[in-house]
Amino acid sequence: MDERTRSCTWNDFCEYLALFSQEDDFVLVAQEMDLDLGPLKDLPKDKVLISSASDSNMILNAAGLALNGKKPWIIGVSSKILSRSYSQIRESLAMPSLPVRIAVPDGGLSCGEEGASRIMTEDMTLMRAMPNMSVAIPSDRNSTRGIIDAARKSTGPVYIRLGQTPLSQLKNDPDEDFSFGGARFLREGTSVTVCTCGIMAHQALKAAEILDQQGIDVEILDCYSLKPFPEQTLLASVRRTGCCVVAEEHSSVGGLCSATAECLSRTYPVPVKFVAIDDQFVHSGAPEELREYLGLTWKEIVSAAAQAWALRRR
Amino acid sequence: MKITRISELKQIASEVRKDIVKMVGVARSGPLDFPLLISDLLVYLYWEEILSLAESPKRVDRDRFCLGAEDGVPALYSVLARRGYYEREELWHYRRLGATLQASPDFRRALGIDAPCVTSGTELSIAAGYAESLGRENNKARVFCLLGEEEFSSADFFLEAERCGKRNISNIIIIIACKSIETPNIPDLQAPCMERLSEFGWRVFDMEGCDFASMEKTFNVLNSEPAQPTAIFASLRNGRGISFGDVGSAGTKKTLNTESMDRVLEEMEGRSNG
Repeated sequence: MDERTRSCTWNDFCEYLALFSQEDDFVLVAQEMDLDLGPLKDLPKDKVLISSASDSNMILNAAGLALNGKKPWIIGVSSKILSRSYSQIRESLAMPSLPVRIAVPDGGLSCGEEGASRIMTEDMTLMRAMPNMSVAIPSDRNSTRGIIDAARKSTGPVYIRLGQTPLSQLKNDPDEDFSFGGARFLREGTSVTVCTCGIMAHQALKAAEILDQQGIDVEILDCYSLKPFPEQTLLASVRRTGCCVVAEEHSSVGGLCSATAECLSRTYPVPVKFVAIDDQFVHSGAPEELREYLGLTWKEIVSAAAQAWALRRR
Repeated sequence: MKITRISELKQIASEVRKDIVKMVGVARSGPLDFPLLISDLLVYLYWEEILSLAESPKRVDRDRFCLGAEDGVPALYSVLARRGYYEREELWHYRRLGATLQASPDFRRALGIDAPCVTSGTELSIAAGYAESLGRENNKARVFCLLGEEEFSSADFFLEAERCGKRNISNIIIIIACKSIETPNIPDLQAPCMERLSEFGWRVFDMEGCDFASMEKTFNVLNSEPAQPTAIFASLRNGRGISFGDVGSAGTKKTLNTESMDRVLEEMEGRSNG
């Protein structure tokens, strides 16, 4: 892994999004804050709307812009935007299905030092449960760019979870398609399907190397589009492998674990194991420490895959 | 304004009130008090002030209207129907499954609806975003926003009002519907609110929201001055146009049954003819 090419999805996002700032319908909606906006901080004044200190007002300002044909990008801290402004997102963006994109820089445990009140491990649950909302989570630079492209084309609201942890490039195919409702194969195999997203995709690849040595041939699906969920891709994989492990840096309630279990139990029931955060609020700590503490590493994926494989349909 | 014109508007408002009673009566649910109170105000806005044509409902330079008080929805629906945005027949399906006129206005279903009506947060922020975006495009359209007086106690409202003042969003006109009855020993919230808005750089007016001459006078003044964020406090203390009798006057969402609906309509007819 080349350390020089590692970058966090938030920086990738700012860098790539700035390329589209000259488009007519582009407006960045934010509050005055300390976020590192990279090239986005130099946008012309008419491309930025700095809202008041109220998160609710920021969401409603963006709705007003969208009513006039703009496609605003809201950026802000997940714990504030999603919890304080849930009803505004619901009523002013999701119900009328306005093309407003919400991007948060502090997804998952990547700002773990900030503590439980700032670590939102149920963000995807909240957004996924909201009708009309698309939910995406990139796992590297290419997927960040692809998701931005998909969000630009979207006619409804989109939630994008980004992070601060530097990540390497998972695949070197710049032409990969990241349309909503899709998933990408990071590795093909026949023994266990590992359904993952975001930073856990990197752990899944490490786990696959170990499992390979044990004779378990893992197939890894990067479900960057949590909603719409890539049901057919998942089913095609699970029909080959007969079992599934879900790994996500999120609560096991309502996120990728739930989406996968809902899909499989409805259509093709197989043994499923979760590697995710139990139903709890997390402590403060360095992101890497927290991941170890909460069992979000390749080791847990190896263990879960071995168990799922033992239980699989034969 | 000529007396004949005032009579015409009064007649229209009276018909709007009847529509509201019928809508809520037929639906057997829905707010009644507030829509009746704002009928005169909406009739004045849609017949005299707002540039908006049913024949070209998506005209780019049309004025926009954001309703920030969901309780006022039946009045808006009736006014839009009478302006020709859709058939009046639609009014009798208000709140029904699949109806164009949903309890919460849906701008994708009903022509003439410019914005969603939020029940939490301040509609001012939607209107401000809309107005700022229009202003950046040098579009001369104005954005009208009708708010309830509960905004007086909302921190978000004042934060947004301060932002509008700082940004000098000059194409926004908010109308605050004040229906409270002045009561001794209860602090008057309107005066401090007017003062704060003035400090933020808003033009502030007050008018009788049930008096067409008062409304005309106010709009004549504001239209003759250079544009800046504008707030109008509209007193609606005597605007229902009917006595409720046993229908109840305190609860705004008290349901009308068929009998009481007929009685209220009868009273309204009597007043129209009288």
